[in-house]
Amino acid sequence: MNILIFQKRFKNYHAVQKNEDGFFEKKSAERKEDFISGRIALDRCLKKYAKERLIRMEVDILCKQREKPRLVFSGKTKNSQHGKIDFNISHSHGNSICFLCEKRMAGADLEKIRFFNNNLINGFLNEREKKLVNRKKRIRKKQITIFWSLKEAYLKAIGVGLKRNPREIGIYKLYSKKYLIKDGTVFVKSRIESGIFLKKFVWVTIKIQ
Amino acid sequence: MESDQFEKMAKDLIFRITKIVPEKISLDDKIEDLCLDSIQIFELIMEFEKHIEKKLKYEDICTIETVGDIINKMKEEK
Repeated sequence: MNILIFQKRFKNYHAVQKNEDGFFEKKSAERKEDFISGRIALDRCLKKYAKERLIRMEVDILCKQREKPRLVFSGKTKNSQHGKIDFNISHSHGNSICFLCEKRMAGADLEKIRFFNNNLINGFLNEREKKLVNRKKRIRKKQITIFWSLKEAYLKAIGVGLKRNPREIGIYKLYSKKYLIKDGTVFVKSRIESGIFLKKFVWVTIKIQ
Repeated sequence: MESDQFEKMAKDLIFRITKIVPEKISLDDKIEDLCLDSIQIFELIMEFEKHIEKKLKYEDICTIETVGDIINKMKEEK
């Protein structure tokens, strides 16, 4: 089962203060919005999952430094056999998406469609990928953002994020909206979905088989 | 080169990418909190690599979380 939740910017975040050992308090105003929006999205995801599976869930989020956050069952559901659940949150300008899936590694990325300068493009796209991108300005911006999101979602799914250079990950386009990912010399068996949110953001989710 | 100069260089670098004025940046600030999104973080890494004239490895990037870490890395490389 896969669940994807979109959460719009939560403007009145002052009403929803959360202090997790000062983690929240130290963040900038923009990051607080991102954080709240991301947590609301995750909460909605988990509630939907529990409803679909007809179970009662008690979960905590385990955040170890330099590791991908993961869900840990607690309380009465501690020894549950519901299966492993992986999730990933991405936020951009206060909006967020949360992607949750069972028994597979999950990655998600949400990015505002924007202009990329040549330096940045050369930093994360190889020559083959640059040729795949349309030359028309409006389409080009969207496509480059999608390429970025595909690589970022994959790197988040495997738990390394930007510590690895996105250039090491290859994107192959089969046809419209159908992509393949290559890590080094290996094609990654994965299910990729993508789309546009609020007409301004690109979203990508990846489930690694 | 003195510590203040490294701090100024690091804050100027961050300002170029994030447009956050150096006066508002402290050494404890996390890079991911200063940057709007992952693309800005990547831009910052690229600018930093250009500045120290060296490609950062996975192990190096793992150690850079705060502004203070950037300054320490600059001191190491210079």
